[in-house]
Amino acid sequence: MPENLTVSILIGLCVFYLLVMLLNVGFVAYQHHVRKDRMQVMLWSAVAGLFLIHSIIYGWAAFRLSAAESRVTKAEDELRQKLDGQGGQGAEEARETLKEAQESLEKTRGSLDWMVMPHFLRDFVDWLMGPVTYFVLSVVLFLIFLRFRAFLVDPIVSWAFLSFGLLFSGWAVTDPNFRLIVTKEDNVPIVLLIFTVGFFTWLAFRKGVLNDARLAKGEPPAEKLEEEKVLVWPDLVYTELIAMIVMTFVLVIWAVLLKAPLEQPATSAKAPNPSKAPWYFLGLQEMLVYYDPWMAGVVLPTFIVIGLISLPYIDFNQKGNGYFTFAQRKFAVTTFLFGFVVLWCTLIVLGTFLRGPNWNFFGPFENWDPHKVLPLNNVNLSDWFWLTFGVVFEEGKGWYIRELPGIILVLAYLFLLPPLLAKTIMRPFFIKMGFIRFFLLVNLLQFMAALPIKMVLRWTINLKYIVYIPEFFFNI
Amino acid sequence: MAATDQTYRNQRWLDIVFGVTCVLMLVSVVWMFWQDYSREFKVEQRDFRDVEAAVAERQMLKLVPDQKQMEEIDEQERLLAYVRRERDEAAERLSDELKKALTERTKAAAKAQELKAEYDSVVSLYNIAVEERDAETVPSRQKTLTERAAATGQRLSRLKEDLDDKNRKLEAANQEYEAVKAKKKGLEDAVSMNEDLLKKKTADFDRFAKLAYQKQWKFGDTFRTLPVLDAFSSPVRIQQYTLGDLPIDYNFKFVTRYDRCTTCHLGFDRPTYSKADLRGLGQEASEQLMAWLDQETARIEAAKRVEDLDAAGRPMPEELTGQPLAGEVVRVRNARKMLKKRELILAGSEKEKAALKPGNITLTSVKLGQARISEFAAHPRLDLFVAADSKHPSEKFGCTICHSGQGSATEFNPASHSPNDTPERNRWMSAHHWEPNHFWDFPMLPKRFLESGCVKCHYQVTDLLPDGNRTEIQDNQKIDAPGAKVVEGFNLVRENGCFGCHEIPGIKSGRWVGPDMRLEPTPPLDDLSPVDRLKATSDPLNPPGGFRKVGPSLRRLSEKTNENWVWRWIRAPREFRPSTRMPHFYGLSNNNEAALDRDQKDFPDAEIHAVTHYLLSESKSWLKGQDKFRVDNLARQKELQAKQKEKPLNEQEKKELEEATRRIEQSPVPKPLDEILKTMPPEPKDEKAKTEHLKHGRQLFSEKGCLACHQHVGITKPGLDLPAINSHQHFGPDLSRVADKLGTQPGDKASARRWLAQWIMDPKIHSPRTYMPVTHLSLEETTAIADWLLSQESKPVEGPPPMNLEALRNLARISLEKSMSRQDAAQLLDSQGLPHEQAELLRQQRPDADELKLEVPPNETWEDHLKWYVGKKAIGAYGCFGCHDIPGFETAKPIGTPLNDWGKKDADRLAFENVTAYVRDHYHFVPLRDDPKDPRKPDQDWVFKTEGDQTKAPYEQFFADALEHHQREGFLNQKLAEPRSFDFARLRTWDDRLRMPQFRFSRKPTPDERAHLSNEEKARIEGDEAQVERDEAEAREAVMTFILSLVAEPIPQDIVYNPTKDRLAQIKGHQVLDKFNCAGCHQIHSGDYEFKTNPSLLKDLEERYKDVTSSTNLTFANDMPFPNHNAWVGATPPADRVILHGLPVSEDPTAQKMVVRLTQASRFNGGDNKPLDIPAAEDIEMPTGQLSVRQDPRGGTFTELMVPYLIERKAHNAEDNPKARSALPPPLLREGERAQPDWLFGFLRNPIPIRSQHTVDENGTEKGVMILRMPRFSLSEDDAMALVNYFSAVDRASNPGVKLDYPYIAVKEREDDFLARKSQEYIARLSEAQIKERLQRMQPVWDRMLEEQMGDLTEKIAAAEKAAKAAQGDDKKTADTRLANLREQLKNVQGEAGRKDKEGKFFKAQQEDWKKNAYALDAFRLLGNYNLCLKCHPVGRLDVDEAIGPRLDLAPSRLRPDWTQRWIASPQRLLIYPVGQHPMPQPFGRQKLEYQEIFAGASLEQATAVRDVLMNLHQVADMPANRLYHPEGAK
Repeated sequence: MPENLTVSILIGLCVFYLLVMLLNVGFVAYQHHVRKDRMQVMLWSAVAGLFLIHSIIYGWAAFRLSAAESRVTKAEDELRQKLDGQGGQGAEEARETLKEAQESLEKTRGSLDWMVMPHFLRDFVDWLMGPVTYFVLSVVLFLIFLRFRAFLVDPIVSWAFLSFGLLFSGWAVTDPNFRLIVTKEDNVPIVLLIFTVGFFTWLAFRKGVLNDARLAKGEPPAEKLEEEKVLVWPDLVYTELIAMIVMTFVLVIWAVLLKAPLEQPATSAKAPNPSKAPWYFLGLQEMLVYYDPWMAGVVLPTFIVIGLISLPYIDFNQKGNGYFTFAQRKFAVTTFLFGFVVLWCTLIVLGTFLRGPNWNFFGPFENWDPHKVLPLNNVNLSDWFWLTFGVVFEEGKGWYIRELPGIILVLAYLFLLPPLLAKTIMRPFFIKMGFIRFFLLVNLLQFMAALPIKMVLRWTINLKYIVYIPEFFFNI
Repeated sequence: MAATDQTYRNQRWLDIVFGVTCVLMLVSVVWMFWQDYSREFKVEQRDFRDVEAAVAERQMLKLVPDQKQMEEIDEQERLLAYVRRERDEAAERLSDELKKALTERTKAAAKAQELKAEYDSVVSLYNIAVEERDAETVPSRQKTLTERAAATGQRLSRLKEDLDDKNRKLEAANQEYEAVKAKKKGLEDAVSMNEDLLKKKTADFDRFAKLAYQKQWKFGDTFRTLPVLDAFSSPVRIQQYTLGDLPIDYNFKFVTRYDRCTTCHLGFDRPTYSKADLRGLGQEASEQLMAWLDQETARIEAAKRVEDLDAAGRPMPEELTGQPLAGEVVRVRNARKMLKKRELILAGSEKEKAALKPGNITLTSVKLGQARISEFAAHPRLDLFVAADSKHPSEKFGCTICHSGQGSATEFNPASHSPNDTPERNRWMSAHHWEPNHFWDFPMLPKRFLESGCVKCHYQVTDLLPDGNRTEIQDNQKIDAPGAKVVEGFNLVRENGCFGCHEIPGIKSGRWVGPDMRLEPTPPLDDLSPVDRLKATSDPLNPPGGFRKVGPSLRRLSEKTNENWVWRWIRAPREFRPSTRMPHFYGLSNNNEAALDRDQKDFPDAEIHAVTHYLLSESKSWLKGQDKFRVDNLARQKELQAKQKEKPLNEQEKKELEEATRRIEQSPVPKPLDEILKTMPPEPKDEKAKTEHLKHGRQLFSEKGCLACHQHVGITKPGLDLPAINSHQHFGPDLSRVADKLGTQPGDKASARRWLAQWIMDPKIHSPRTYMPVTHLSLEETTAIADWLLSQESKPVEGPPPMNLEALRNLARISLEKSMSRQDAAQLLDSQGLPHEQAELLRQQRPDADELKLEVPPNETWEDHLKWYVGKKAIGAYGCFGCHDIPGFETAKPIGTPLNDWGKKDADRLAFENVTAYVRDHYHFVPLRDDPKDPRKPDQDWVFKTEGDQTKAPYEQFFADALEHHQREGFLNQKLAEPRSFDFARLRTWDDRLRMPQFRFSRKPTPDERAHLSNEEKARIEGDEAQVERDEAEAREAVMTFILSLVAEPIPQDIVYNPTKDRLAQIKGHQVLDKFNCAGCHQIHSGDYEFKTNPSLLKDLEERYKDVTSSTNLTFANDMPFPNHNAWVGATPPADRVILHGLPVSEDPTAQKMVVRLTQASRFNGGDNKPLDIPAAEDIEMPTGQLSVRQDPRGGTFTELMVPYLIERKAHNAEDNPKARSALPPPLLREGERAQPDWLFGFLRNPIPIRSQHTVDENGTEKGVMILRMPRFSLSEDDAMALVNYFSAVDRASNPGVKLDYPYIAVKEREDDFLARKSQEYIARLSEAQIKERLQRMQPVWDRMLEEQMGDLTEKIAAAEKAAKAAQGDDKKTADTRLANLREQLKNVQGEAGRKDKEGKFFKAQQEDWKKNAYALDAFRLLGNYNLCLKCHPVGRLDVDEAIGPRLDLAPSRLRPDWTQRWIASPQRLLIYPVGQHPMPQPFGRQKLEYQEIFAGASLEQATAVRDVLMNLHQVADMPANRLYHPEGAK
């Protein structure tokens, strides 16, 4: 078991909260100088004060703990010297001192226990982060976000969310298991990803919401107010140069601070557990839970690429060029964000932080115990279907009959659903896009939907495969 | 909107941002460089440079010339100055001369050259002229041409003369020049020669002076180590070994090993970097000292001429001289002085001058912390490791092959350093932020497990420590020799029989990768026919195992003991006998009261009942030939044979039939004990006889060698008129309670007596593979011993609690449900028996199924059958057959995990389960186990601690951490300590629980078990609770070291330790010695004592040498010059050591002195480096403070135990120590040199008495010497051969000079004509008078021969007369002729005897014969002389009353000729036992010429003659002249 709190963690948290405090001080300054909103200034000053208090508390704790620890080290050295010295004179005394120092260290450690995030909260988060709730929650949050975007992207609200998130992250780090996984060198990009994706989504929506309001009032979008052309030098190249330098700086610092570990050569006899893909492929790896490798690793990625290539040909909506908007491109933005943020990014986060040994699900505060076993009682559609009718197939025989229900279902999904959609809810699309473009769009959407559909089926009825033909290694 | 010049962003802001980012980037780059500059190894290397400089300086100071050397150097310098002056003086003159000569030479050469050109030209002209003349046909023209040619010819001859002249002149000039040049060179040579001589005297000093200078930081070095610049030709760089031959094995992938450890461990191969030396670098001289030095230096610096230097300076004030470093400071002064002087005198290169500047010597202090000292220090034992001439040069082996760890790393943590204990771990954590490295599977071995690395190459394991108990001494502290721990672990694994369950095959995919520890096949190879044995051993890649099961056979258990005892024993063996090796299976953490569910509470007891029943009932059946195995096989054989008659069998069936037949043949029906031993001697009736009988038993038990392996509390106090004797041996079981366990019924004395008497007589009947030997005792004797042992009853064994039948049924159900449906099982149990039809069905499917035994025949009880079934299942589950031979488990396979590569088992695959919680609950953690002051004692914190109502045992924090971090060490430690604790708080069905039993490797019971012991038994356990737990932890650690060493890594053949023939023989022999506890009786190895020399020690030794070898010392004066008696013939011993091979006679710890009696001559360097030899058998007193290695003698424990006992008992012929010793097992020192191999082989397999055995006749007269006899061990041929080779190999290795052959030898003394040749030489040596005298002396013998002949003939005649009477016809005729012949012969003989002058044909023939055999005849008379050999040794037919020596007729086959000769000539040099065994006198001293009338010759010749005759004793003794020789004193 790793220790709850160490000196370095306490110092780290002290610095972290200090930085967050500074962030809030900056926000206060912004409110004061730019917005001149006294109410907000008061509010955020209080928040900054809260962070300062945190910082001070952690700093003080760090000081106490390190003092206690160094007392023990000193006592140990003393004892060793006494033992090495002539005839062990004074060793008894030194031993006593050491014992006292050790006891006081234990006491100090004990007195810091209250600073660790309370267990009920950790248990709750662990529960919340179960695979089903996690995905459903992310979808629901996504929908809520779309629905209440106007409110949520307001800077004050967003800042409040951010501050709360940072406060919570700081607390969470007091848990050793969470710390272990979040501070792992390999996972730093993912932590960055959470914030950058969040920030840019917020930015786009914030501008979109403002523009939508303007458009609703009949005004042109904000972007149209600005000049259309800027100078290559200095406006483009200079900023690019600066960006380049900043990037280099960041990378160098990153490399200096987080050193790559010296590992041993790969061995065929021992695979790391969990074996994880590079972080940007963790979304794909998550698909492997639900689909066969050829499907998750070949077919679906191919469709993603095809989909991305064919975007310009499918997109018939002429609006929204050169400015941010949501209202005018509801379908496009929603579809893209669902695919990118929900199906790609959240799955990466899930794969990184919540998938542990044996690819089992672990809450963020749960210990990654390789011996955890979860039941895997998934059933194939054919088994379920035929068993209800009391029919049992001999192994390896009559797969075409056995798998008929699944095949029909898949074929229906692929070929029956598009015309149905064209007739019903997607009729406007069909009219605007024509036969080929429409079918392409719908098929792409169908492949995108295949993953959540399969997930839901797995969670609800433990469905393993819809079509299961091991004779040809063909499973869907 | 139109484009404007307006920029989008504020330029000023952008510039500021740009500026800031640039600064940031610069900072990051600088940071990066700084990081690189401060990489750990760079810091270490930079710091090390200062250390190097300081060490070189100290080294240089050590080499500062002393007064005598200084004088020599002065002398040399004066000489050099002289030759230089001479050279310089001559230089000018010579250079003038040289110049002149050179001019002359050049001139002469030019002239000669000129003339030569002209001459060449004229030669060509002449040739042309001649050709033209000869081609011309016109006569007139021809004439002209002829004249012209002649003229040219004349000119040519003139020129030739001129040229010769010039050439002569040139040569003269040349010679002149060379002569001058040589003169000059001679002067130069003298100078350089003298320079060289001077250099030689100061070279070492100069070398270190230069090194010290080189290692100082100079501008160039500092510059090259600057950040960034250090990428190019920097003095700091990564050092690495590339080990292509020793790749890292990643399962089918081999990755080259790169070891960069030496990047930081920089002093690892330099002997001068000892820890003490490095610590010394931190010392600083006081200010006053430095002030004095400064003054002196100023004076030295000011010197302009050499003479100035010699003027006396200011002496060091007296109060400073006692200060630390005062001596060093004086040296610094001297060194500076010397360098200054050399600067003044010597002119070397500028660089050299700079290096030798006086100011360079500064006495810098470099303070190093403990960590740095360990880091920079030299590797321990450079004679064994690292050094290029050691056995493990680092170039070839690298570091990680032994130490493990990540060799490529150049930082502390990634290198995977492993702390040795908790304090060290804490230090590392604060100094290096140390944490376990999860990126490397094989972290460095912590020091305590370091020896695990050895077994990778040392497959025999014991080869690491072939001599058993070597102790090395470092800084006056004893340390274990390298390898001691892993060897101890190996021995513990061997003794405790771990391999019975866990196979250690040592072979992986067809090659050897580790030690081979496997059970021998059943039946053992020894019992197989030669053909079968050959078959079994035919596959070299899968040879049969060689380890016997460690427990006794249980086949005859029912004859030995009873249910009560078996039940109690299985329940808790250590409660019955605390020191037993048998582990505990019950009452452990997963099956004790507390751990079991309510419905399982009675399971253990019921299971023990079942096992007990199985063992006893199956043993009974086996004795009747009705055990299940046999019955099944017989049935199968019968079935198949019947089938064979009807139709041919298929392959499978044929094999089965063969197998069944083989099995039946190999297990014949045994004879029960009461048939083997039909009658027993009756127990004495009356009290007195009974006491006498018991006394006899106790005496036999004490004296007949039992105590070499066993102990018994009953003889630790005097009793029955016998003194106390207390053995501490525990090779065999402690017999104190043996009476409590015997008897087929509790308290049944008769059966106990019968069994015990038989067992002592021949234990092989009960347990064929026991190590206990056949004792050669008579039934009366063994009965006496048995009766005494049985009279020592201590406390009877309690009967077992009644069995819970329900529990038994439930246990049966668990097994049954595995082989049949639940329903069937339930039905079977309900109906109390296997229904008939089900049985029939089962018999069809599995004819040997155990369930069939549940079919209960009418007259037997269901309960017994159920017990049988459950018992068999339990035995199978616990693997009891891994240690015991149990009927019914003939074909069972080991049940445990093979340990072949456990040492590298992936820790992820170990089931740690909830053991950390268990350990936290049951123990309290202690940082250190051993007291740092005395490692054999527990640390102060290592105590049992009571918290509330729970007493917690101490547990080393180190292992608790290892458990926490899921490391192999943690798992293994806990597995060995409490094997079942991994089941803690786990849901387990009964048969799913862990089954490994709990061993106690130190053979001391656990605290819980101690509670059940009597006070007396407790008192016999050494040490208090804490000590016991510490000892156990230490023993466990040894076992762990061995198990962790099993990594099955294929190492290339040329790196694997491949012992020489001698060494291998020693190793193998040692294993056999250990196996049979030979050292229990015999002393096997003398001690080795290595002393560091110093002048006073050498002087003392030289005194001793003079003393020993003085002419007044008769022993030495009478010595014969034999190698290894009085001269050393081994390898030349190292110059700085004196090595003594011998036995410690006495040791006085307060005076730090010890006396060693040499078993071999010892060589040391006397004055003037002359090697001197002190002969063997001398006592030498040595100071123990100088000891560097000591290996005390090994073995002979029983003898040491018996000597005081025998003296106290006033045993016959044992009144003093030497005599008592000669009654006891002899030491086997130099046995190989003594015994002939084939004799020894035969003797080991079937020992015969050599010396007279002690006997008492009816009158109570005691006779003979030996109180016991070598018993007969069940040595296999291989074992016996190994021992024979061992003895020869040991003596060959330690005495190469004696040149032993083995395994077979040829005795050249036994060649056909050997004695005849010797006789010729002998006769030639004798004078006429001597011959005459000898012939005369032979006369009575010849007379007797004649008499004998006459007697013979008379007898024959009588017989012939009878025959003639009875014969008929032709036969009668023949008989008559024969009778007449005989009468004729008798007449002749009588005639010869009647002659006074004794000159007849017979005597003539005898005289001739004598001449042929004179050598043998005379020498035989030496043997037969009562004052010589015959006094103590029976010589064949010639016997004596008090024969205390061995029979000499064994000698020809037993003794090696060379040894025999040495022995006879100088026995005192071979009499090397501690206080002297019964001494054999020296019959033929070099200085005393005796017995000339018997055998004429020098003493050595006499001794040789005796030897020659001994080698041919049977043949010589049978010579008629010897047969009738009856010397005085013979019986």
